[in-house]
Amino acid sequence: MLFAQQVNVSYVIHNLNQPGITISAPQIWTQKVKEKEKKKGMKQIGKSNVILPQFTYYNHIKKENNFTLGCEVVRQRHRMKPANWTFETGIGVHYVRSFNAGKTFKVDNGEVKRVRFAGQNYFAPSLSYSIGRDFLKKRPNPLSVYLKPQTFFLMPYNNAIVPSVNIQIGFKLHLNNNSNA
Amino acid sequence: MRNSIYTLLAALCILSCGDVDLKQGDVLYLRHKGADMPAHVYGNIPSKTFMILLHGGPGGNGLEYRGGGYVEDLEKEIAVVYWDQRGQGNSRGNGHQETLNMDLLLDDLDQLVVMLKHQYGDDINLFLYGHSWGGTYGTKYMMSEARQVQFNGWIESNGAHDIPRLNIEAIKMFLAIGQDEMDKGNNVSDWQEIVDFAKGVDTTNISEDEGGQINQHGHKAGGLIGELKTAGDDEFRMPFRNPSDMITSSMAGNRTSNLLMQNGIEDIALTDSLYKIKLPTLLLWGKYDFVVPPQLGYDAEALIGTTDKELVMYEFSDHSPMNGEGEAYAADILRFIKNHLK
Repeated sequence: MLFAQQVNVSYVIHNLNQPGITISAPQIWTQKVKEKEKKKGMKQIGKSNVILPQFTYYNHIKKENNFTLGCEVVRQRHRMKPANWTFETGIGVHYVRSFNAGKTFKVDNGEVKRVRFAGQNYFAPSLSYSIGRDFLKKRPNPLSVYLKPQTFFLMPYNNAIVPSVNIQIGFKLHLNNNSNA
Repeated sequence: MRNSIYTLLAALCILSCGDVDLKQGDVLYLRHKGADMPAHVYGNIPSKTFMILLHGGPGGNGLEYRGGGYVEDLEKEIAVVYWDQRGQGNSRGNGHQETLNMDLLLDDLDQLVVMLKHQYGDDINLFLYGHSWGGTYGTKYMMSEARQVQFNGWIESNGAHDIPRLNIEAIKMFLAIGQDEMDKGNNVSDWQEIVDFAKGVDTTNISEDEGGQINQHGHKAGGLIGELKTAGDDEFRMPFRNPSDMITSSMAGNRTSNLLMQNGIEDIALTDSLYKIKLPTLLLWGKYDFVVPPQLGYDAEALIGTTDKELVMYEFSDHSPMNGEGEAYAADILRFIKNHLK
């Protein structure tokens, strides 16, 4: 099997200076593999369409805790032989929930009341690009790493659409040799 | 390849690490009419003396003022409330698009005062400080006697309390100081551009677009004065991982700024109403402020309706005297505050 079922886990850098984590579980939608005879040997290229459910959490210090749940459709190109590179472009939609840091209060007729779990809700389309590589190819479960910038377009954010950027640096856990992902 | 990734990961982890300084202080959000507005309270909270900082812009944010040596001096003695105004900085929320005007902003500040007194006690000493656009905001707030009584004193730094007048005064400064600098042979081509622009402005009818250009030229002109003092490299700076969110706050702030412009803030002219301010007032200005010229400070000194008022003019500063002459700046604020505690 050319693709293994996997879970992607990555460290996230939100807007260049805030840390977080993303977990995603790609599911192959369609795939095909082409083989080409080259001077240096056989060249194998896989092309797949992948559904990528994704969960992200980040903490923006003294601003918010942010949770994002969504799904991307990813176009994956996998150069399997001789190298082992993966290139992906994705488009997705997400629900974003942020919780304010600290305490939130509102004033009703001069009386101050604490607002628990205060925060904002957003709808956020996203665009992403990813580059990854498999190492330790001789093992049944190779080690794969990837770098993935992802831009979200938060709406409505102060009555506008505002971008935010997450950079994921992660690895892929290949869970099962016989799976389809 | 693998080593490169490990190196990159290590570097990013270090850059994203927190800072001891940020673990101190309080974060309070005020929820009011569709917006959640953060107030970051840093400094000597047990002193029970608080200074609410109204940031510039519109479109700026409170925490951008938390840099430079003056902050260390202030926070040793008092607590500073770095507040992000509605639609700016880290403020978030919707629903004010149609109603975003000065009255709503004044109402926000009323609620902030109530929240701070609830959190820290009715007996706190409360001072209001406004820089640049914050000076417009604060002066407008102080037009009401009922609002003045909430505070021990008002501190206006380079405050734009009369925007039509500041445009006229900036043009006068461009022409006078620009010509003087060119005669001395200083930055001649840059000054020539500014002077030519100033000569082309009809000061009896300055458009909104020209007002924007005056502001841009004002910032540029300040940078051309060679004798100004600037912040030293060793002064206090916010750590890399800090609460500011430059990407979202700059975009949201620009939008809010445009909305406020559409709703008439460029026409705010409070010189003739300054007599309404009966509160002790400290006025802080840079001598080479081309953005909000010192004449507005002289006006305020003459017209504010109390005898307990003082203007401090910083000889080597432009629009932001806290950067170049921070030590004196902080000392002047603290002296004023100590003289007006309950």
